[in-house]
Amino acid sequence: MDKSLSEKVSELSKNAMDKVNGLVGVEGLHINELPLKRVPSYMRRKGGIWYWTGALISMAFVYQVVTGLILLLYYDPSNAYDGTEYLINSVPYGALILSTHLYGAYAMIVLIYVHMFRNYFTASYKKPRQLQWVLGVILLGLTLGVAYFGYSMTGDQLSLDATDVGRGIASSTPLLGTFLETIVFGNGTSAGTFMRMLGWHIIFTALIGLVFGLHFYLAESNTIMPSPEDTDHKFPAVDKEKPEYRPWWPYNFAFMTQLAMFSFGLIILIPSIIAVIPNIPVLFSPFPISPSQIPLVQSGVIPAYPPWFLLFLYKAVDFNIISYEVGPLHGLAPYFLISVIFGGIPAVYLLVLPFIDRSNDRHPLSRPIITGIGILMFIYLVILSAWGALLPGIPIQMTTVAVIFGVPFVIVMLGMWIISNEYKKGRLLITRNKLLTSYLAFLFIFIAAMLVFSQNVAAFMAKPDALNLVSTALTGGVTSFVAFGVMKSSDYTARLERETVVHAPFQISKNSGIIISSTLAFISVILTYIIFTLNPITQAMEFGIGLGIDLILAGIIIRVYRLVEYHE
Amino acid sequence: MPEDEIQDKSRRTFLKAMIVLSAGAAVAGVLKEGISNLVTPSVGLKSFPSLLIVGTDGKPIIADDIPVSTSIPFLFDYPLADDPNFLLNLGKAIPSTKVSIPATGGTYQSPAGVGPTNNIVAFSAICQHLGCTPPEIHFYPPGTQVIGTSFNGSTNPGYIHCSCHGSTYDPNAGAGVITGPTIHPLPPIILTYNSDKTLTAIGMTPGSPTIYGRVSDLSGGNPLSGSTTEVSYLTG
Repeated sequence: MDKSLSEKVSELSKNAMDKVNGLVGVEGLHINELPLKRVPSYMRRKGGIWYWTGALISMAFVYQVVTGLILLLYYDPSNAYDGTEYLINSVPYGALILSTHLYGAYAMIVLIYVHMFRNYFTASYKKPRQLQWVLGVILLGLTLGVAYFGYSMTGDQLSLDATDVGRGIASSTPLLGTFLETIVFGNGTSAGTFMRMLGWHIIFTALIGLVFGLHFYLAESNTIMPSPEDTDHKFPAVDKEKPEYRPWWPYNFAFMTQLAMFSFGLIILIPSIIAVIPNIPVLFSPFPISPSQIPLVQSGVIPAYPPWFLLFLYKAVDFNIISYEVGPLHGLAPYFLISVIFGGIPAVYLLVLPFIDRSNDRHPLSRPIITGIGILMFIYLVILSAWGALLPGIPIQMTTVAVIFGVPFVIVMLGMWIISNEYKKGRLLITRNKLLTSYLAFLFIFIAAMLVFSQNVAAFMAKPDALNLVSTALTGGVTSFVAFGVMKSSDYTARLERETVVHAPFQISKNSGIIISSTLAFISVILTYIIFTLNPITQAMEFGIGLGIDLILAGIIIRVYRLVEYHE
Repeated sequence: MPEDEIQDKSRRTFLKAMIVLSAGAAVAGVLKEGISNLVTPSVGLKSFPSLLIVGTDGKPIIADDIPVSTSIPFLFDYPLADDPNFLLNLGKAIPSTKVSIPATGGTYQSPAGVGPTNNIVAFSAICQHLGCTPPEIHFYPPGTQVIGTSFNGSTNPGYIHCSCHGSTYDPNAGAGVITGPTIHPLPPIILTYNSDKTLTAIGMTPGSPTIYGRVSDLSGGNPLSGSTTEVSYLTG
């Protein structure tokens, strides 16, 4: 009974597919003639998501462009805040589109950082991918810029503050200050400023599209990074398409569609869930600050700080690096200098990296300083951001700054030096025992660090002073570092296991595939029916939950299809 | 290399140089055009206007009606739109004070209070540190806790404090700097007390810093229409 049903279903769907093919013709699309490189199958299997961070970023970008163009139809620079409120309260699904546009931006920024650090530690910027890396760094800058302008456009209290801080930094630029300020922010009238920011928001998006096109073209031309064994652990690492690589259509197409379903689904689902949870702290709310929340701003419950992706720069402004005394750099110059130190120097470093580090060894331990700087950049980014969120606007003395920056520096650089020396002498043989030992050590330190960290957080909440803050930030940094260590070492241990014991690839039968996917499809139809009955204005976010789940279900069904039909 | 080939080569180099030269000239022209176009013409006024301070109903504000030391002070725009200022009744005579600017080391004389008992002063409500506006920059009446600081009931004589980055100003002494990170005092507005007990804003204090984010107090915003400026309140 079951078998005949499954046969009938697959026959029906095959007939349907053949009809579509007859009408349009997959061959007629010439999809396999696109200059898209074929990739090895392991990239589409479990854990392969790490190879697709770039694809995920571009999906988030597509989501941003589509929702952004819809929002553009409603944006009114002469009435920014009222327009935002109107969109949320009176336009069908306005609240959903606006809040998912925000979370799509968050997703894009997080993924860009993941993408960047992954390629940093694998040294993908080396020959022949130098220009590809440089374009990537430019894309990071453009994305932070477009996010800044977008965030400043809602016209709520925090957006006005963001604009003012931006003006302060722009106008404190030596010589070019007022010039830059008018170019970026216009003539100072409210409507003029919002009009300018809308313009820059769109121009930067267009630039991202342009640079991304080049970046993607180079990524295809330079190919994926083959596994180290394939290139004798040396650069240049270029992949030669092997005959066993499967064609782009339908294998990669199905995989990309699945990724798109998951990423769009999560971008819609997460803010929708956050929006409907009652009493959510206002800082996590995906909506602008409303006038009824102004007393909370005034009493400091809602701190006036920028979105999380600019918090690192915001905290740096609090450092008393340049004394506020009379001098050649008096006035607003400190903000300019601090932006240069904490934004400009890392940016220039990343831009010139491919031209400084030109060795041909692929192992991260063969370049201890570069790897160490990467780890430090990550740690500083996390510490400064968390610090900015926990203790906004408290001036920090030089000694505290030195401790916060110095301790991780000494630990990381010393550790890198020791480990790298071991590696270069060939003594760092990764054995199963060593991996297990380091995994256990990491786990032990992680648990201990978590305990100390939570105590520090509690102490800090009770008494928010500099000492408690420093200890919270330090243990927080250690905790996240060892958490990463636990993840990595367990990953390596598992990989070593896999090499010794070859597991049979996970498979399910056609029948269970049919049962699973028909159940999920049935659920999604019911769900769609339910969300269609919701009010498009007052229940937009509930609609978002249903829509997000729908998309994720579709992604799971594609996954099941790939498993059953392609054995991937 | 034969003679004519060498000549060819130098001719080619010359032609290439000409292309670079003309292209450079064109690029310079385009850059000049583009960048100048991006700099918006500034808007503003030639001189300080005299603006009568009125309520939302259009009727002039009577000096005695301004509440004494309230945490919800009146705000009015001056000299341009989007330039909010505090209008404070401090409940006591405020003398003119010498205010120092930590950024430059300079000083200026703040205007004395006006009104029935010389009790009314006005200062820009845009924080001189990084431009936060009310409600983040906020007046804390005497005897109240200044949120996020050690100024409490007994040590707060009525400060203006900005919760963005913690700058504190003293409106009793010309809004001079009490705590950083700001290095500029809040610029005072010059008020006159009219015979019918109304108030008119007539200018900004010479020598005081310009309003945050402005090259000059008179440019960088739209002028207000008419000869009045309306007070607004902040909710909460």
